[in-house]
Amino acid sequence: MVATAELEVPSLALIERYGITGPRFTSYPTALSFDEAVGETQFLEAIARSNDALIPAPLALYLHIPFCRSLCYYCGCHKKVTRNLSVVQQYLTAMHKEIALKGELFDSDRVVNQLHFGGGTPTYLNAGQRKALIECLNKHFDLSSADERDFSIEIDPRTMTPAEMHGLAKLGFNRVSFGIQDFDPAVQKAVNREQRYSEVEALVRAARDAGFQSVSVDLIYGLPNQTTASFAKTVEQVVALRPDAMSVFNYAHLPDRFPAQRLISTEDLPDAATRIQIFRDSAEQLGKAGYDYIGMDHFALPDSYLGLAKRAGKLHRCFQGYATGAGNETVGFGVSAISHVGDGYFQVRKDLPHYLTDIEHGKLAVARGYVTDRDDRRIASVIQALMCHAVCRKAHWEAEFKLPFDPFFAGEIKKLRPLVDDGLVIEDAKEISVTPLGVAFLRTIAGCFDRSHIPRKTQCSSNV
Amino acid sequence: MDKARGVSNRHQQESPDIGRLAPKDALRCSGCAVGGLCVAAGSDAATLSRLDEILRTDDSIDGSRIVIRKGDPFNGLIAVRSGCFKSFTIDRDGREQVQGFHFPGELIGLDAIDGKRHRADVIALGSAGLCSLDYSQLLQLSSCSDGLRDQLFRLFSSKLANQNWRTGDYTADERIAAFLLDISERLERRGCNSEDFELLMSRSDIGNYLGLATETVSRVFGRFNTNGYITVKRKRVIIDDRDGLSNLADAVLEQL
Repeated sequence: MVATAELEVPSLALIERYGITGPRFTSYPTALSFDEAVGETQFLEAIARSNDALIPAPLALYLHIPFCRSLCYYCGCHKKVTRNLSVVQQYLTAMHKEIALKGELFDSDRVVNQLHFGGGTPTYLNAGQRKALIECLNKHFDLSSADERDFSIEIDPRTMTPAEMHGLAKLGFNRVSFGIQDFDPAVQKAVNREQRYSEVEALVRAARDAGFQSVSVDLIYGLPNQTTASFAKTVEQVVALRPDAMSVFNYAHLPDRFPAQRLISTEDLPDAATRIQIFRDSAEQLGKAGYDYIGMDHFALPDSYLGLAKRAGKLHRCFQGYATGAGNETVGFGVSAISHVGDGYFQVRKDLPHYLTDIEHGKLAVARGYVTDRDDRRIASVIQALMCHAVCRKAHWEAEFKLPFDPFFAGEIKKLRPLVDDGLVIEDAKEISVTPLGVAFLRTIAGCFDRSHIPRKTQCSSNV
Repeated sequence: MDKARGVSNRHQQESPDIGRLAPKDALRCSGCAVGGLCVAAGSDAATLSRLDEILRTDDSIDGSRIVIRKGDPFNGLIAVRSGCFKSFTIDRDGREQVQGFHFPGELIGLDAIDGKRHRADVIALGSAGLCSLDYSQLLQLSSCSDGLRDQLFRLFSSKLANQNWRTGDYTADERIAAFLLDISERLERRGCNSEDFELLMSRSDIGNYLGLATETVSRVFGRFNTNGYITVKRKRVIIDDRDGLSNLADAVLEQL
């Protein structure tokens, strides 16, 4: 476990050599490998197989609400800016139907112990719309009411009132995450997301009053007009709110891929050296404030659920980042949502009209997906271990897959050599472990194991 | 429907077909992997070669194929060669009742000897193989072979002993422990891995058979998994603590 204080921030030369971008490995293979040849048939087969397990996995439901009232210029999420309420109503009608369709497919004894509303902006929906969705879910799935459940919702503070926080708790949500990004007015203006500190503070207080078990906060560094001093102030303000967990994301400026980002002028962006300094300072600030480093861009208080899970070695990588629900199967609802059931990944159509038509006709609107084979699962296990625990123990892997580690990963181990020489990774007979210096390069290190660019021999899943 | 008749129809086929179906040693009683516990156990060489002549083998049965329909005329017995079969009935309200599961070396259709009609549907759980044995030919053959007659009676009687062992006032844990040990013993008898096996039947089949709710089946498997009695990986069961299971199951198994 890497304590925040031990987090070493690498030199510019190392960052230039290895890069800090690349897939975030919220899944392996990543969504980039999904194939249109995988559709509803494979999805139904995967669900049938997963129902058939002697101990069926609990379910994690993800609902994607793609709508936003206004455009945040940095955003790379799948979203639709609209104020047209009839489009939203149409979407919700389809979503209700989708919930009923999918509810039929999963055995009724499969408890839902994770639920996540993401977006877009889930709080775009009003209280009545949210309540109706939860009631629909309750009707078609067995939603857990246990304290250990993880029912979370992303909150855009600009669309929420403190009074409504209590309503969310009544619906069964027990964890919230606030999208803050930055408190500096100059930065907020440059990315078109203006919200006052006092408003966020009131919402966080309301979340505590309403009994939410966990409050987390998202920040982004590398945004226009940010300076080391301005971001340090944002971090200081956030620490004062004492969230249980915090994400400090690195902004990736890819205007060719995300047209909204063309509204950000490149000359306003902090340079590479400044960005590194910002992350270095933030990590130090958070460490002093008592936060542990969880992995990637995540920090958490030691007694928060993420902090406890990290210590217990029970952390798990999922599409929302890090979670504690290892072994759950994910069912996604709404445009672009990804299900992970059995050996397969299945993504819902991204385009709204097609999604609406498919669901209306009783189809599951699967656009593409991926059925993993045995090698994929062998690789995924290493990537998961590195991303969550910063260490992969060869003996554990060998016990799971009944195969010697080194020969299977001979090529990957060779690829790691330069990173080992630069002190980012230690590779010995027992394990592959990420050093405090290497932590910033988790994606690159995990990427050494990525074989998804090599064509597969067969598209069939093999049984283990 | 056609598939369902695949087996019983073959009984009416003419003898040249027999030679075509059993060209290889592996497809004969004399060369069969489960021969040691099937009908051929204890038979001399002459009886074996006669058995080879009367049996019809089908190793290409795929999952979910119904090999016997309830009410089908009884023509002969079926011996399981590989895989697993489930016998079940559907009552007038459409509710299924699982009668049993059949493993290699075991006979299906004994309950139809009296009444001459099959009393249950039999379906393959995954790919499987079986042998059909014409009943009148089998009787004829057994009248001239003490070894075969003896083995047939033994198989008939062990089948009877297994009936209804799941009724009685037992807890879910006891029933499932007994169920697992019963399967493990049956696998051991045919020389298969009895510590690490795949349960091809569904959770709801197991629940139905044992008189338990499906949810209870997964809950008990979950508990056994946590307590260290077994390790469950999807459909695979590894027995880690046979003594622990035996302590639970003894009360049930004593009734067998």
